[in-house]
Amino acid sequence: MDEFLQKLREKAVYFKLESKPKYGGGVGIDDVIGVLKSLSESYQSFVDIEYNKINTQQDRKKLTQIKKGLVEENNLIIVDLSFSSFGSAVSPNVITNTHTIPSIKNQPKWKKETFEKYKSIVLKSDFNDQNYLKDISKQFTPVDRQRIFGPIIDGIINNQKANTSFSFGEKGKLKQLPKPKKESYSILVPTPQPVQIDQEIRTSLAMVEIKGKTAKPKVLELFDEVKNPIYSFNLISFGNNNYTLRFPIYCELIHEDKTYSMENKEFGIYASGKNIEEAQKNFFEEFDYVFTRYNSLPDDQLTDDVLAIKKLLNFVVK
Amino acid sequence: MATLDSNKTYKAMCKKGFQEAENKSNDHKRIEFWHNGKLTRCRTKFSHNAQELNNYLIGEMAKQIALSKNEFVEFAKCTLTEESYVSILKTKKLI
Repeated sequence: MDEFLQKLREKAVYFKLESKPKYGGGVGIDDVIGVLKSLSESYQSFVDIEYNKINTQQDRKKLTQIKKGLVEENNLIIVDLSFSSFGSAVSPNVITNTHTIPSIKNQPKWKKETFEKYKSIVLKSDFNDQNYLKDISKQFTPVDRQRIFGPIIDGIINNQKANTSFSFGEKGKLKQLPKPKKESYSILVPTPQPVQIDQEIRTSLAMVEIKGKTAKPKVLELFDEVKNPIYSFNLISFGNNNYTLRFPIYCELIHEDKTYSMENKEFGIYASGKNIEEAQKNFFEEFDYVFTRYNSLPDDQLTDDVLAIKKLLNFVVK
Repeated sequence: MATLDSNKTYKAMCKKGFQEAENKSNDHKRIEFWHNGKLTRCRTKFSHNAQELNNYLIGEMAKQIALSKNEFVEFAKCTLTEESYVSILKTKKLI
């Protein structure tokens, strides 16, 4: 066990908390927890952002599961502790692994490199160096920067109750992180700007359940996505036949070249015309035809598909 | 896209499972596809004035009987058999 921890101590981040004089020398438990939490939060964000660069998993559920393993793998663990003031050393377990993470072939190597990169970018840099700030802006989005630097600056550097010094490796010299100037802070922890996301609007037909008169409809089944405008009809008339419907039936209006077509796949009706009025007239004619035709034949002379349409037609028509 | 002779297409389809249905219209005749003694949802209309089927009409009729334009032309020219048509409809879960 000691050998294992010793190996981790070699590359660990050491930090020491010293209470500010007005608090009488003692270090508050909340401050210790706050610093550890800030460091852990910043590092986990960094790991997450690094993994996003190589991730190929698109399925949200599977990705959540992978990321759960990634968090466990990269948890910072306390590998050394001194009680004189609060001194501690933390490191991820870069020696072994318990989870298999897709896209990462050699996990100990990836964890080691990511931790080194984090130390170099976040804990060893001069936050007021202009070139550093330019590089950081290129490497990380504003949201990423906020996730990585926010906990470190707000939770550790700007901690009013205790000063935290960091060193790297067992014999490193303890040093406080540089306090960023106002303009540097605005780059490292940018204020989130409301972003208007242009979302693609898609239309689908759905079967919904409505309880009572005021309840919000609940989607029971989502049918095929439709790319064209939707027309709905409550009443269908053709010749002397008028069909009053219990609920509207929908059809997709397709405009190709000089033709307009109306289609309802559930009823197997497709009709077209030179303009929308003609397409609608022909759609009504087809509706009249299938209703009359399917009801003129006994069920055993209809395929299952047509029988289902017949039942639906008889349900829809009052 | 080639045009098709309306009468020949009608006859070809009637040889391959399509049957003329009762119709209220004086302008056109309807044919429906029957499989194993059962009516399917595939149907189309032919004009009584025996016009030539142009690209537009081929497209519309193909859509009505669940085929692509090319498949419809092959079906009309008898290179697509009734068995092949049935297997297309089965793939599309229409029978």
